[in-house]
Amino acid sequence: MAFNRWEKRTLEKIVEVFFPPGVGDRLKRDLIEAGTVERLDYMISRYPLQARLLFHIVIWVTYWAPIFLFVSILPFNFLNWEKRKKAMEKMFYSRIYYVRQFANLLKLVAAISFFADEEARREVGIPGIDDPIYSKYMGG
Amino acid sequence: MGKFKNHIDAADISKYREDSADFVVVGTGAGGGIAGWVLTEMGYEVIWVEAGPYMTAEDFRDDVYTSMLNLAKDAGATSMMGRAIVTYLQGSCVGGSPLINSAIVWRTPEEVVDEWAEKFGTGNVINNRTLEYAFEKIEKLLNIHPIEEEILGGNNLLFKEACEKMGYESRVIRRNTRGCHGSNRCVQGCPFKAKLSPDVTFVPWSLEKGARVYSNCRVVKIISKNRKATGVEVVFKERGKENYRPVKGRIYARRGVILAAGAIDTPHLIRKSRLQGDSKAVGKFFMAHPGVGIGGIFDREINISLGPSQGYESPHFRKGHHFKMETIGLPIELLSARTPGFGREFMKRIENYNYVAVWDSYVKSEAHGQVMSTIFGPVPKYEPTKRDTEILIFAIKKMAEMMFEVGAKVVFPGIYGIPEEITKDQLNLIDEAEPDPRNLLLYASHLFGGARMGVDPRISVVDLNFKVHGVENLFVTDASVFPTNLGVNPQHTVMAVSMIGAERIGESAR
Repeated sequence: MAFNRWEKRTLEKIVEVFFPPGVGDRLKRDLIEAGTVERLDYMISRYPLQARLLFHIVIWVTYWAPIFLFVSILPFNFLNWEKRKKAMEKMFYSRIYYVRQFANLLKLVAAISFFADEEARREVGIPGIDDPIYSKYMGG
Repeated sequence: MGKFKNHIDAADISKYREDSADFVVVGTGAGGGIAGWVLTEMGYEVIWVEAGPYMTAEDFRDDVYTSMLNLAKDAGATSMMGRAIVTYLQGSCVGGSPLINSAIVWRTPEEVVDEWAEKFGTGNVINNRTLEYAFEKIEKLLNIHPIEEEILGGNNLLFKEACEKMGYESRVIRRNTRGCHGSNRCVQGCPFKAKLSPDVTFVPWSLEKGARVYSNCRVVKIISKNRKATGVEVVFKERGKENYRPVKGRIYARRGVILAAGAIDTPHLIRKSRLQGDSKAVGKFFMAHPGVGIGGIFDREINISLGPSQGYESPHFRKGHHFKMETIGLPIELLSARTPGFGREFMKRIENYNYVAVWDSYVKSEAHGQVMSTIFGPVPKYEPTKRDTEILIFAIKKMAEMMFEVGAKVVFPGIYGIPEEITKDQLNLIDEAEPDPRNLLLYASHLFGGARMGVDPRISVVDLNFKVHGVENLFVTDASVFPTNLGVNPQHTVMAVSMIGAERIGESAR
């Protein structure tokens, strides 16, 4: 049960709300270059059936969220970044517990997929396993 | 073909296959790993069956994404259902959860052992004397020792400083490691082979002596005849490969099947195989330690990437308030998910990763849930009580106070209804939080019960010989036999109880 093109497009727009290209001081990595959506797609394909189903629902809910949350009369993919951010923000602070959890879940999987890219990790200053700093820190 | 002598990677098996041994052990984690080793040492032929792959340090990567895919059950998409969602992480690989935990070692608190003896009649088997014997043996085998000061790193040292300033009891965490580099990658699988989890200890030690391990091999059912377990039906699986067809097989056990698949899968397997025997409690009395974490931003560099993932702890509130506080060096991926904001504002906060400290706390919950068996597999149903939630909110406040005491600029309390970022003068806002578990971002790292031990089959599943009530040759040696939760990190207790169990099982099979 892979994501279709429309769902992948929505996923990309969602990830972009958190990691828009070209705005970070040090974090310059673009989510497309980082392969974030492809990685997300693969990760979710490995989830058990009920979790995969849930993800399809989460994407569907997010797509229509701007309308239900009175942000816009257009669905998520047709909005500019500011409006998408506003819709996502409303999901995060929703009084409905599951809507809040959906937003949290999206942020979590977006971050996991984005930072699976080594370049993105390096840009925020995380040393790799081979970094000599760890040999200094070796304990007994 | 496997990676080691006597390792069989089931992904390579393409047609129906049978095998047999004296004992079949389901699971290679803290419980199953040591149980198989004890029985091998006693001279029995042992086969382990493990649903996940056999990964080694060379296979581990820096990122959480790869470790979730390769090492965690259901690629990390696991949660308990209730009014509030409580996520949990379980290892699904040779070595089990100890491969992705922080190797924290705690002996079972005496009051817990006494409670088990008094209420569940376990005193003849699990008592302070038998546990002491097991703990000492395990501590020698796994080089259990406090973390060396020089590798503690900023996050752990900051916690130490905060405890000292607040006057809280605290200590360096004791762990089963050798040659730790302080790379903060405990949850991704140690790339330096420093963590002495079962995949690098009990399993290879036993393989050398003739035991066998099937990895990528999932047990679907326990085979039985006239209420006597005789083996397991398995599916050899090929992970990550498209269009694969599952291949079935059977592994027969001449003397016993030992379940050590964890507090969720063990009761599910018993129920699915219709081997509840005389017990009325399979899947019931499921327990956990729900937890919360908070982050704080500091002016000085913390360098959370340096130091063990969890290096310092405070049991100060353990007895009076039923919670324990620890450091936790969250990887960037998981920390990002807890960092407020979007776009530039969010990314700026993440760019300050090296200025962030993260600590967590878990409660000795009074809640009981249950493991339900559904068409999707086992589904744990669990919800912290109001008291548990109040304690967790109190713990968040205490940790926030500690962070401000050592100079935090802002803290992320992670409570719905409270600003995502608070300053020192906003601390009292935490008191206004509603004690509803849905207001917190909850996770549980320690799971117990579901097949608990006792003399009364109405409220327990296994007897004092670790045997399922009324079923011959079916045993359980993992955290699911615990009559109550512990209030401390359970790995050591799981190993000790399983060691005692395996010795009893081995003796009775002679």
